[in-house]
Amino acid sequence: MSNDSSKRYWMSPQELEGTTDRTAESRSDVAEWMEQAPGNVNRRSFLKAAGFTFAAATAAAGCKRMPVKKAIPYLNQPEGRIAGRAIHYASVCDGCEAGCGILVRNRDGRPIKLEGNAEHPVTQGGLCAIGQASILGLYDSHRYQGPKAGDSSTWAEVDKALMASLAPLREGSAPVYFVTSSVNSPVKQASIDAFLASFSNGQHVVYDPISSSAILDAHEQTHGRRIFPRYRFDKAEVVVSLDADFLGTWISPIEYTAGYQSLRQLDGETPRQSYHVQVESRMSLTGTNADKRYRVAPEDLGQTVTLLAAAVARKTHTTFSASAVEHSALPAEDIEALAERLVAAKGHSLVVSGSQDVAVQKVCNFINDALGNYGATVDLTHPSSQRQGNDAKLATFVSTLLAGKAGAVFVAGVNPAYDLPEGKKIAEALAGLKVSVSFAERPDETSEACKFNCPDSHYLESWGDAEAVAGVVSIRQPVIRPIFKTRPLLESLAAWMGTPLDGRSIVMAHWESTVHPRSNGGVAFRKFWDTTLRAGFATVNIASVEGAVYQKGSASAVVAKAHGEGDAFTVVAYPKVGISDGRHAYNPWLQELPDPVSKATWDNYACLSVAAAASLKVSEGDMVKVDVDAATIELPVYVQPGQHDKVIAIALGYGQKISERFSGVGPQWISSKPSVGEDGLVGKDIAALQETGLVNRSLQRSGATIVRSRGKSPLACTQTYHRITTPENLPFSGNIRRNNVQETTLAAYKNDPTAGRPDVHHFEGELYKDDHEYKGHHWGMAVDLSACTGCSACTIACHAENNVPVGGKDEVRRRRDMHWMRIDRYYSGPGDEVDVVHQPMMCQHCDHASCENVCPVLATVHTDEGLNAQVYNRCVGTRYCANNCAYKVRRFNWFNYRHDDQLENMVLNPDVTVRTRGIMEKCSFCVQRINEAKNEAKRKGVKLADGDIKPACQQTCAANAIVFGDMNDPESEISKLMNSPRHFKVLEEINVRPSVAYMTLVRNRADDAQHEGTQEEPHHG
Amino acid sequence: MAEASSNLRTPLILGDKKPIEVSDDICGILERKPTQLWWAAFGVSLFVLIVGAIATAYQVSTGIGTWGLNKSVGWAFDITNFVFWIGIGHAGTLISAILFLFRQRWRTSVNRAAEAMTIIAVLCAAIFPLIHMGRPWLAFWPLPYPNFRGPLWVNFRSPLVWDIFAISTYFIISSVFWYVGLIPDLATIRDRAKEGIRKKIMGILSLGWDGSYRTWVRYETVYLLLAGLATPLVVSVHTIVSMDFATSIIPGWHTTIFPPYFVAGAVFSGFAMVLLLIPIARKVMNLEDYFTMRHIDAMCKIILLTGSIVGLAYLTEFFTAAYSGSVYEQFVFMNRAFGPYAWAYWIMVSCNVISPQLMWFKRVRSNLYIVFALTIVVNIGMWFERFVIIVTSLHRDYLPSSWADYTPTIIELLTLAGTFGLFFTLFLLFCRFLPVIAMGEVKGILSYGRSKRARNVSKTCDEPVGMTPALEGEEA
Repeated sequence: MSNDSSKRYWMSPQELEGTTDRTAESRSDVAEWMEQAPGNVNRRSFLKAAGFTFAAATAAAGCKRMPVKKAIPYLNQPEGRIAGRAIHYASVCDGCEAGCGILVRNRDGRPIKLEGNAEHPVTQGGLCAIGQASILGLYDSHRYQGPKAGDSSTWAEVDKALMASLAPLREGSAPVYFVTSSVNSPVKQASIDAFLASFSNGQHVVYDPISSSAILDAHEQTHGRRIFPRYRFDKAEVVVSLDADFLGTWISPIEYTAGYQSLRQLDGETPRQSYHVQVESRMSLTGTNADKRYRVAPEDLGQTVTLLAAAVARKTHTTFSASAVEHSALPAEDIEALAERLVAAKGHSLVVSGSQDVAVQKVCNFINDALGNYGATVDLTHPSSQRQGNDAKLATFVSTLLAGKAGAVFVAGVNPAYDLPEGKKIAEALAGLKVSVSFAERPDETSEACKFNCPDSHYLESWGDAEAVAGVVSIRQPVIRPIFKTRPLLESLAAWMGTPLDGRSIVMAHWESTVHPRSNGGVAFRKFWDTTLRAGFATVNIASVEGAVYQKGSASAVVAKAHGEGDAFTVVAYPKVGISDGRHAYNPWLQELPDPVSKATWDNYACLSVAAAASLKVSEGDMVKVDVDAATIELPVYVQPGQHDKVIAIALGYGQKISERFSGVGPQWISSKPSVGEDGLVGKDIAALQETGLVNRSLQRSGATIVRSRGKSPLACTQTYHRITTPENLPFSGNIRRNNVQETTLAAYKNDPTAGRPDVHHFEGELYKDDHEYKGHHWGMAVDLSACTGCSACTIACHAENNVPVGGKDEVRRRRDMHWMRIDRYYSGPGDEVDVVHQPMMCQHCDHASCENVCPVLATVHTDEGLNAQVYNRCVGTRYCANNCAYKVRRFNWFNYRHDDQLENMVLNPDVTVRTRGIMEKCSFCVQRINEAKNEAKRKGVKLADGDIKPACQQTCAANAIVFGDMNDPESEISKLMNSPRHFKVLEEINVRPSVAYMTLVRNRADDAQHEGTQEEPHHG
Repeated sequence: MAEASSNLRTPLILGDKKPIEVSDDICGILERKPTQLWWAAFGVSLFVLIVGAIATAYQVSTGIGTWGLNKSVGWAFDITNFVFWIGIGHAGTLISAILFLFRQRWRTSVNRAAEAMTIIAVLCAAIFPLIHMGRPWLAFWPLPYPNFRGPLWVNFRSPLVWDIFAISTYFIISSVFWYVGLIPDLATIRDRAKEGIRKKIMGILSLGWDGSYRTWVRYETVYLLLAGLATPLVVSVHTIVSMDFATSIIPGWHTTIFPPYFVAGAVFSGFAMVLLLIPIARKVMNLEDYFTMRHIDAMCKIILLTGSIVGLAYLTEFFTAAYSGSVYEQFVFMNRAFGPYAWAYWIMVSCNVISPQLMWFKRVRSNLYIVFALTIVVNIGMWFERFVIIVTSLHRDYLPSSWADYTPTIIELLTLAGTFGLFFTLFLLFCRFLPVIAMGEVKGILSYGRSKRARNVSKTCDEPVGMTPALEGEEA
């Protein structure tokens, strides 16, 4: 401190000039209050003020406060930018190859949230959990912060070194490989092609970590073209899915979910619901939504599809021999009935399969052709670029590489050293190469083995484009300058071709020459570009796909595959909704996202059916050893009802190097346990269990054995009781169905729209009828249980929007997950023959809220718009409100959750307070969005329109399962739903009067008899 | 009367003591140097207290997450301990106030210790509402005081606010009642003390007590008034504590039976705690003449009564649940008895319902070892009663998706142990520095000279003998 007392500090020019009184400008609350006191300051008020100041100073000094950061205003405010107002930029998601249209919400120059682009013709406003979470990757401080090659760490040096190394390869015969996942970007494809063309032997190897090459190969054989069709679920009234998890993880779930739900509309004039049959070996998210589901061993899938083909052929007067099939996994009459339904919906049906057996896919193609689905629900004229992987080429690449004959390898967007069963050898081979280049954004198994690390920028930092489905092109625009010294792949390639250009020029040039000529209407390029950039997409003409017709006789019966002998199990590796193939395993939001079916987080595990677990005498969390061909891994067990008894399902994407970072995630205290295993990684890598040398890489492998090993590893599940009925072993009150989920069948619903709602409560003689008056708005929400697939995108959207903290595995295991929006999943029915329901659950904003009257300090109060508001800074944390919440939606800050990664903090939504330790939080109906929309309407001088406000969960929902609006507006959608005969309120009988309504779950079934689960009637005394 | 028996009542104090002997007996404890046994007990208690304090400090500095609570079970050990300790306190007030009003003169030798126990137990209890808060440094916010935030008032609809009033009132009245009762004895200590610090402190604390008739009259008036004030508190405190649960909507909590059930349970556990302390005190401090088997017998009977009330309440809860027609209500009670926490439930039932029934037998009541063991059992049972009510109701309520189990952490166990450390530390200090028996009152019921008179007085004479002006009342 300076002792120079003559120095005088001034707070404004006026003060310096002596034109204002400093104290008036800087008065504090205390000073203001003292001024109000008559006769200025008397002794009592002085003492009071002094006491208050002292107490406040003590309190302020005693507690840890968040550091105060100065906000500095713009010196020159950019045009159109107003601090605090969000700007949305249209772009396209790069979380996977599906290419969903997005809007990036920017606040004060930084992207904070991704939203689905509602105008996008393919995805129609939905965005999945991975897409929602991909924004966190931008602010990942563990990304490569610049290029690296030996000692060089600037782009100029690395470029120079690489060019020097590449020079001898340009003319040589050694192949130069460019390994990528499916490229849905035309400009990227063109750049890679051009780059490889500069080598005499350049090869582009495309593989998908979760391969669908069998579909491409099958179409090559049956239709003569190696293309991936666009499946039109929006036209398919009968859907038969054979092990394809199209609502969860298969190819393009958002597109498929939107299409699928468009045919399952129950509230219109004529209720309609497509009929969905799922034949699968494990319980997939799609299986949980099926109207009819069969558990079939993976080996029996071929026979099933062959028998179905034969049945369809008989009914469509074609022939298909199924004589080779000896027995059927499905009852013969069921296959007949299914074929009947398929044929009845000729041209409006769809058979899809996730199998990697080309023969199975060919039979599917036969069925779809026999049903006239090609050109209707299976679109080959608008093929998809979401899957292009060619496993045959990949196999050649791998063998060349392992033989040491590869000249150079470039790897972008994939992690072969982890993805492939030969991963370890690939890493060694890459390390032995002179030129191996990785574009990985963050260190992974492959990039660590590569000589050159040329990190690609995050997709939100780069220019690009996408044409995931032929005819719909999108531009990807950067929404922030690269945070690190990374360089977009397009620019790297341009630089190495000797024509350094910035990304925008590359994309524009390509669009001008290639995309613009395909556009309709003959607008000038500049205008076409601007319009497309603003909208995020454009519909353009496509080159017609000639000659893609089914060649008769190209498919034949699939003979039974050999089951493993005796006690042998089949290992089925599967992608989880959040983790998928593992490329987002760095993302803590996705690690903490409960799997929609198992509700487990932060781990992979060996799923066993109820019967299998019983026969092995294991229960959840017991460690087991899974053995296939000398490869062994040890995993905890998860008991998964509805799985085939001879299947062990294990999730992919775990045990990756990028999960090392999670060793210190979450609160650290004396009894906390790390989120990583003993090897320092999250979950186990199961590459060792996968089969090598397959023509089409498959996720299934027969002949596994499983034995119980020692120890337990409790799983971190957000839900540990899974049934809708009370525990069977409880005398008297056991096995009683709780009526928080009300469901019926389509047949019953058509008869009586209130079907499935046994308890409709009417409360007469309310003591406090007009406890709250809602003169203006009265916000409400409706959730359609029939529409919700459980995909959990809303959970992550809410996570991103509302700054929900991540607790880590131990906190979840202690049942302290912080999600404001959760999806409850219940099973009904006996043993493994279960029905599944997903019930999104968030604060119900009750009009008679039980939380409100128990808070001693009025930290949770009712607003005049019907919101149950939580006042964070008033909360002292007694947790009484959470105890007294019938829905258990309140979340308590058990610790000060870590916000020490300053870069990661950039993703925080500035409109939502970051909660400190010791206070309660919960869903606010996105009150910040309500206020933003109200302010916007006020500013424009217009009335708030229905649909202006979309909470984050509703916005991202591809199935349109969530509707939010003003219940006081009789014309609003929510008002109509609130009057729908299908609506019910959860726990209506306790009369807390929730503002959230649920629409009964309707399954497309003839009657209740099909599943016993639906027969259980709620009991009442 | 055909039998040749004494027409005088059995003396309340044995040993045919003279008043001076009472003073010697009681004050002697304070005037002697503490025994090794005392030091040992004090050392252990203080150690446990410090360990508990460290655990609490760790929890307060790190977060509630160091407890085993979760999103469904938001209260467990904290509120269990709170209700347990508050319940313990009840015996003191009941003995000192209600039994005083009912002229149960046997109470005189136990009321001081019981009251001290009350105050210490309330202190132990008060820790938990404080530290169970997420932000305990803002613990003053639930108090209605003028402030700069609006002023922002508290929520008078919240049972937690009622709790604050109920408990602070209880604590203040109990402390004042206890202190007022202490004044004559403090004066006795003062008078016996040689010049020194004890004399000075006792001189100040005894407020110039001179033992005059007028002083006694005023003292007795105040004491009577305070007893009247304290009496409703015996009922009100636990009634309001029970409303923390009864006014909620959670099945298993939302029960109108709770107020009487909680009060009975509190008296039950409180007497058990008194009965736990007294046998030790009489042994260690040679007070067998004051804490007689008659006291123990009477308190055993109260335990038997209240224990039976508690057992009836358990049955009534089940009946109400069955009769209610509410699946949630029915489920919660079945789940208590047969669910994951059935072990806790059956500990509770066997400790609280079955074990006190042994006290029907005189032989049980007169065997100190069995009584001592039973009181421990009852205290364990009553702790589990609160645990069962709180945890089993919360862990499986309405939506099966939110059902969660609760396991305490080491921090919670140490915190609970720490409150026992605090309790015994303070109680041992009380035994060292204050008279454990109300000398002034005991002197009023001495049987001094009685053996001689028993021979002289006529058979019909049933007059009690009052030795001092103190507490001259009618014997019913």
